[in-house]
Amino acid sequence: MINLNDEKIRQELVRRYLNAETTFEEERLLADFLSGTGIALSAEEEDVLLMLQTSNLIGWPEISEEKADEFDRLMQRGSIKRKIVALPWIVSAAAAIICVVLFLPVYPTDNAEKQPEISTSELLEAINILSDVGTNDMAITAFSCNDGFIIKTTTSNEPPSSFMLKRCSDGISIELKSQ
Amino acid sequence: MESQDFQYIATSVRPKLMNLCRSFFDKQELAYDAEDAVQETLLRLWQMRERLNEYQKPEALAILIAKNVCIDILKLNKGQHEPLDEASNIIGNIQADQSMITHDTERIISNALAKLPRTQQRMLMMRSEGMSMMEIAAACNATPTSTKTMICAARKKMMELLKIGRNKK
Repeated sequence: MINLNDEKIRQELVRRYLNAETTFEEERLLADFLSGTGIALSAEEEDVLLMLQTSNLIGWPEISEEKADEFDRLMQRGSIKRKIVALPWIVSAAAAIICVVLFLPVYPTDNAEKQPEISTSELLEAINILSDVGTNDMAITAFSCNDGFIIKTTTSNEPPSSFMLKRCSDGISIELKSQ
Repeated sequence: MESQDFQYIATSVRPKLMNLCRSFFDKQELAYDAEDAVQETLLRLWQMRERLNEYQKPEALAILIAKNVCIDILKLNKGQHEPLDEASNIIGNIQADQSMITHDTERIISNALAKLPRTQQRMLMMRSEGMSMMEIAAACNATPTSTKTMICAARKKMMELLKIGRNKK
């Protein structure tokens, strides 16, 4: 049994209390002694007594099932609220996707690109022009390419020549150009 | 219930309590640390330790307490429009019962306590309720050594604050 009437023992216990070295039983003993005896306490002992009485300040509310139900309700309401908040975003995103699909510019298909823009009559017209300016033994061959037609002329006396026949940027006139 | 049983329950249930409290505060948009709510839950669980054997699953009781703690904190914060600052971070229960504290000395100690960091406040509360260092460490997710260091620092700080308060009188 600790004799707390002895000031030195008491001070040593206070020192150990402040260093968190005391057991809970020792702390109870010190609290009982400081609050129960009529001896004059030092300022430090008065403060220690105040600290030892901390538990008197706690007023715990009752644990109840009603509060747990309220918790569950609030959690549910929280999720509904979050869903409602998310809804406009989902609607906006869907509307944006529909707009993009509906107003997407229509590009020509691959087949359309491969078709020569020069018509057969225009090709024949270009060949006629070349035959008019060429010699009688001139042979003319034409084959299609991406932009129009490549026309090759060969004669017995001169080296072969080639021409490019294509549509002009105005979309109407055609151009025959030596290569 | 043995002390080791409480330490085991506290350690095993803690992650679930953290998730529960964190998701509640997030949904309620409440600026409150889930760790504080968990510590308070485990303190209340410890206070009910004698009744723990009545429950088949102590974890279910811990969750019931945690839900109660969250609601208490929410109600406490509803009337508080300004964000919590460190100085006013007084433990909820003390604040709720502030009007009932009439005695000067009790007001002095609750004011001094409010100036400590929250974990230190709660550790002092836990200790004054009779929890061992090991139990406090388990409840606060700390090591026994750091728990002892924090309680020591808290007590010395409290002594300083009480001395200042006494000198002002």
